Amino acid sequence: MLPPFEVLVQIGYAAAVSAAALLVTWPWRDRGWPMPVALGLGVLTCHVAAVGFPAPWPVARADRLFHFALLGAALGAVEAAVRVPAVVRWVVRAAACAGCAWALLLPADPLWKFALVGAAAFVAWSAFEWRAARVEGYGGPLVLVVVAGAGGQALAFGNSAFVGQLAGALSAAAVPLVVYTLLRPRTTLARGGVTAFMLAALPLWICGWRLAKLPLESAALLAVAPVATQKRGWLGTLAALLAAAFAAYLSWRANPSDFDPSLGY
Amino acid sequence: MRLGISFLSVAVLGAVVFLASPSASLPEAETYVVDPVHSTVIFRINHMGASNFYGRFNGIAGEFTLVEGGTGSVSVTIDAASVDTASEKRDGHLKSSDFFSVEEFPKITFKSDALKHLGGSKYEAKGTLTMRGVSKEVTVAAERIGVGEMQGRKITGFEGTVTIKRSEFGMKYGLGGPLGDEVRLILSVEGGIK
Repeated sequence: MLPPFEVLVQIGYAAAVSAAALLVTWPWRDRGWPMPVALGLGVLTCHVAAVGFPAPWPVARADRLFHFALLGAALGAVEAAVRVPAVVRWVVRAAACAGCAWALLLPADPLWKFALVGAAAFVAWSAFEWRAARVEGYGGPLVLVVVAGAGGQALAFGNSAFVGQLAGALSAAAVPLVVYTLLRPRTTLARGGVTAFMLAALPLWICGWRLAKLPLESAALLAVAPVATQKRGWLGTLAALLAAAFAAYLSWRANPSDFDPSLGY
Repeated sequence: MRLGISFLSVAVLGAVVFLASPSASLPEAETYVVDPVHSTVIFRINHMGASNFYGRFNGIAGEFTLVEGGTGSVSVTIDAASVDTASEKRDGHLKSSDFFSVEEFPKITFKSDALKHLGGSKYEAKGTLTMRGVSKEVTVAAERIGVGEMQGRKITGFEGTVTIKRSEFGMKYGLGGPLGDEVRLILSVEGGIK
C-alpha cells in the first residue's frame, strides 16, 4: 500500500489540474465544455502520476479506467459544445454503458450479467442527467465530491487501493467545480458534466465489484447516489453522502481485517 | 541364391534385434508430475528500499520431462489466488486488479520446451512466463537437488530462480515508491515419476 501522504499528493494533482483547467478555460466559461474537461483531466493526471500511461487497449481491465475517463471528458465536452438531438445523446449513452459492461466484466460472466450491468448503468446515468438538468449551482458538484470521495473509501475497504485512489482523484477534481459553480450559480452539470463524471465513476464501481471485493450493494448505491442531487444543495449533498457512506460501511463490513493502518503492509 | 536368402534373413533379424534392444532406443524420457505438497513458489520484492520482503503461492501444479542427454521440458501452473504473505488484508490487495487481478487472470504459467543440462547439477530453462495476461520470455536458472524414492516411486527436485520486472507484466502500482520493480521468483518443485 502506498504511504497515505503519497496517495494524497497524487490525488492533489487532480484538484490542481482541474482548477488550472477551469482557470485557463475561463474565457470560454459560457460554452459549458470546461467542466467536463477539467474533471477528466484531473482524474487522468492522477492516473498517470500513479501508474503512468496505459497501453492503447490494455489486456488488464483495470488499466482501461483511463480510457473511460478520457472518453467521458471528450464526450462531455462535445455534448456541452455542440447542440445534438436528444435521441443522439440517448444512443451514445446506451452505447457507452454497453461498452462499460463489455470492457470491464469478465469473458466468463454470463450474458444476463452484461445486460443487467449495462442497463443499470444506463438507468443510473439517465436519472442523474435528469436530476442535474433541474439543479443549478454548487449542489451538483458537491454531490460529486462526496459520492466519489466515499466511493474511494469503499473501494479501499474492498482491497482496491488504486481504483479507490482514482475515485479520490475524481472527488478532488470536482472540488474546483464547486468553487466554479459558486462563482457561476446558473451552471448545471447536465449536458457534459454528468457524462464526464459517470464515464469516470461507473467503471470504478464495476471494476471494484468485479475485480476486487467491493460488494455489489455498495457498487449499486454509489451508482445511484448522485441522483440525490437537490435544488437545495446542502440537502442533496447530505442525502448523497448518507447513501455513499452507507456503501462504504457495507464494503467495510464485507471485508473485515485485522489490518493496522499505522503499520501499513 | 540360398546363401543370399540366409544373409537377408540374418540381416533382417539383426536389424529387428538392434531396434528392440534398450541401448539402441531413443534417449529415454522421464515425465514427473509436480507434487504440490512438496513444492514451493516464493517471491521476493524490495520494500521501501529498506528490506526484502518474501511471499509465497500455495497452489502449484504441472509436470516436467527429463530426456537422457540433458534436455527436457517444463510446464508449471501457479494458482494466483493462492498468494500468501501472512497478512489477510495485503493478500486481498495482491489479489485485486492493483496486482495479480486473480478474477481476471487466475493462473500464472511457465512453459519451457528448452530445459538444458549445463553440467553438474546446473540446468537452465528458457521459456514463457505468463502473468496478468502478459507473456514474456524468461530464463530460469535451475539446480537439480537430487533423486529419491517415495512410496516406491522415483522422485526428483529442482530449484529454479528468475528475476522479472513486475512493471513488464502490467503491475505498476507502488512503483518508485514503497515497492520495487524487480521481483525474484524462486520455484522449488518436486516431481514424482508418472
